[in-house]
Amino acid sequence: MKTAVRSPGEDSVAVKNTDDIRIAVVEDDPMFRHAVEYYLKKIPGNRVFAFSSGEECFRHYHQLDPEIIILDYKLDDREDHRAMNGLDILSEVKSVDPAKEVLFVSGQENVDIATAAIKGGASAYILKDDLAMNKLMDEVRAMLFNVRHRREEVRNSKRLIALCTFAGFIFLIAYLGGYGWFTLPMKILFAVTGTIAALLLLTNRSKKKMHIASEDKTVKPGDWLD
Amino acid sequence: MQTQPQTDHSMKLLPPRKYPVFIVDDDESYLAALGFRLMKDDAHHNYKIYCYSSGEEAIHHLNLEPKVIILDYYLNPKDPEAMSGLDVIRKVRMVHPEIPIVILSGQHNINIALETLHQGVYTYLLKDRTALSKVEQIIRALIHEGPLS
Repeated sequence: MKTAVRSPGEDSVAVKNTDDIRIAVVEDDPMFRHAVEYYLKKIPGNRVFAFSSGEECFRHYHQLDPEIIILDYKLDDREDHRAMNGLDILSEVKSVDPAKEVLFVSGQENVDIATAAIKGGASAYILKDDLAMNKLMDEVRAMLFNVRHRREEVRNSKRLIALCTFAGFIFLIAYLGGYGWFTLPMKILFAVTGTIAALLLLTNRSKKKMHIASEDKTVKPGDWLD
Repeated sequence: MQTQPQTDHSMKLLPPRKYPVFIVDDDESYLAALGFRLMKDDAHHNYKIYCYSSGEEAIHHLNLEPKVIILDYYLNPKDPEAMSGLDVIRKVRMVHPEIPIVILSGQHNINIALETLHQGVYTYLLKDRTALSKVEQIIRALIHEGPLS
């Protein structure tokens, strides 16, 4: 039986253009996966994508670019010991983007796994017990807040870049035009704004990409529900 | 009366600086075992082991500026008034937030591990057979290269 990616639906191609926050759930137990999906969809303003294995998640990773990832540790329900476990996914995700919000939900009561998860950069480790869903919701709400905050920061920095570029451009024109009012302080202002714009552009440029073999495969809307 | 041979102290090289490493454990036998193992070839290492059997003692000697603190979780099974492991972590964080703390505990309870990890300890180790070598590795790594993460 093949458990496919669920839920993006017809409009999945335009998923990045919306203002919603994208959450990926990687969980092999269908019961828990549906429960998590159900509760997460109750919070307005986010989109949930559920996957049954790490490989499946990575196949669609760059298409979706999830901002929050909820992981399980044990992901080999079909006794496939080569399957990725949660810690592999965590290290892979963190090697691309260390600031990504990752949440570990697991039935493992092993202290070593919990330590490895927290040291690997997971925000929290939640044990699958009676209170798991409540704790999960609390953590996710905090994470949503963080993600919104970070988005706002990025938006502000983009505005600053645009403003600096615009101002630098105006001053450049004025300089080349050789207007009489273009005195020394104006030249200094031009230099400073130009430098800030260049620096901001350079710092925002460095974005690594994960190497995935099936990356070139384009996803059509029909592919989500095979 | 004999006269001591005059040595020129200004010409003598200083002995290499030994970084202090604290071990805090209420179980005296385990403390002795761990201390003995780590002190075995002391001359070859650039760390010096200080063993304390209570949190108060360790806090009292914090002016030695330890490079690593190895701490037990349950320090007060007999005397509930004494400092617990979490109290020690908080106190050390208040004074020296940069000192890495390694929790070495017999507790298999995951909630205790998570609680201490969220307080910002370096790592949480269980007291099993591989604990001694792990502690040794961590001390060497931390002293030679600084914190790894």
